[in-house]
Amino acid sequence: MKCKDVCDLMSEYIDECLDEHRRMEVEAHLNSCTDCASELRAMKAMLVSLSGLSGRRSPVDCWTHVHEVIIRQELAKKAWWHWLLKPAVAAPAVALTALLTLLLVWPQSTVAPPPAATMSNPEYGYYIGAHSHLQRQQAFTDPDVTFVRAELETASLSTNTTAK
Amino acid sequence: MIAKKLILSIIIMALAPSSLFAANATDILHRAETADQYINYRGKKTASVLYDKKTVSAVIKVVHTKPDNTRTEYYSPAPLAGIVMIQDGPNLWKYTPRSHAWEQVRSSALMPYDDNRRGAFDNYDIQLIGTDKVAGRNTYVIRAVPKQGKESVHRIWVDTASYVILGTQVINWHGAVVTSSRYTSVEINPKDISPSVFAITGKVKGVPKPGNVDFHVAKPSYLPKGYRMVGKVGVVVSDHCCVHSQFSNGINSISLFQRKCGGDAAPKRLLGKATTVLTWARAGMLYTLIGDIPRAELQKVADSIR
Repeated sequence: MKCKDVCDLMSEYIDECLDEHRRMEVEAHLNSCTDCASELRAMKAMLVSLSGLSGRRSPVDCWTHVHEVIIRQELAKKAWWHWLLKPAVAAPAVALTALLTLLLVWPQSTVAPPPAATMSNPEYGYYIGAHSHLQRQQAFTDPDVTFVRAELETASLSTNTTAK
Repeated sequence: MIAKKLILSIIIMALAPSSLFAANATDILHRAETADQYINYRGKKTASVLYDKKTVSAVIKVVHTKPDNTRTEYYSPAPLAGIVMIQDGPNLWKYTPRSHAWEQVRSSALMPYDDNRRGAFDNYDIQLIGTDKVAGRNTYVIRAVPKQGKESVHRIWVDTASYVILGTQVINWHGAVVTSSRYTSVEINPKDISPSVFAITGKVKGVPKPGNVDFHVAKPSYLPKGYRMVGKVGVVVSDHCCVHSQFSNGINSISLFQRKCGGDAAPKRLLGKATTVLTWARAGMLYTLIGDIPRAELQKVADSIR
């Protein structure tokens, strides 16, 4: 048996894991080779010193945390928009974009709000004018007076549409 | 016996003028209302309106040719200065200097003349109360006093020669003069009125066509005595399809405007400085009621609309 073979089997020899034949061959070489014998002593001394260190138990979920940290680091390396490529995000985003596009392209009249419950000034002015046109047809009525009255009313609409 | 005859003669003489006036008032009113069909005239007049508790006067020039062409130019007050109205038969046009354009005034339903005058005689006592001078011309003074309810008293001054109406006055139920008009100068049958003054030239704005009314048109179950529905027209106002229901007693009128709206929360509120206007929303409809009657009466009409 050569020195290299003995070195390869050194750990098993120390742990007493070799069969009887192998163990005898290793011991025969160690008795005749001072270098390998010296290596064996150094290894045993290191093991003795390591066994003197106090042990510290790992947390139960240590590997779970390690896994999360690794994933976070990997995600941080990716661009923010990579989220959009995920189906759970991409599908609603596409649907929302399509809806907004539809609202912008669709004819205005179909999405117009319901008519207001209050009058605009032009609408109020029209009502006053239409009523004056009805009144001007009545007996004893000067149509010019009726018109003046209606025009004064509509001309001041900007200050006249507040509730009394 | 002689004394009895004398007393009887005095009584007859005393009653004769009033009975004569009573008989003539109807005839004078009829001639006055139809005078425009037979007479040309041109003149200037002032029209005064009680507006926001102040009297505002307008200066107006009128040119009329028979039977139904009238040009009216407004010189003052400022909001009306430069406005021209042209009546061309059944069409009424309005020119506004701000828009530099003519616009056809969307008309209400034209009321049959006879029906309207019958309403006036049914609901008012028409009296000839005397004579007066207007613009240097002799006039009859006719008064219409309402037979019932709180309505305005109306007066007109009618030219004794042409029967053209040269003055008007309306006194409301509080005794206040709310409107009046009076010619300051007038020429009857002038020879030099050019037909071109009635021409509509320049820019003309279009009028939206009325759309289909797709809602129930409400009616008031209460109207002041003497009023009846005289017309109902569909119009488009500020892109809203609207119905104008019209009521009259022959001299005064009430308008109800109705259109769809998006809510029903707006309570009744009063608008208007020169006339009484109520507006409110209910069950998805916006209502606007206009009429020169006491506010309480207009409120009763509004409350009865279903």
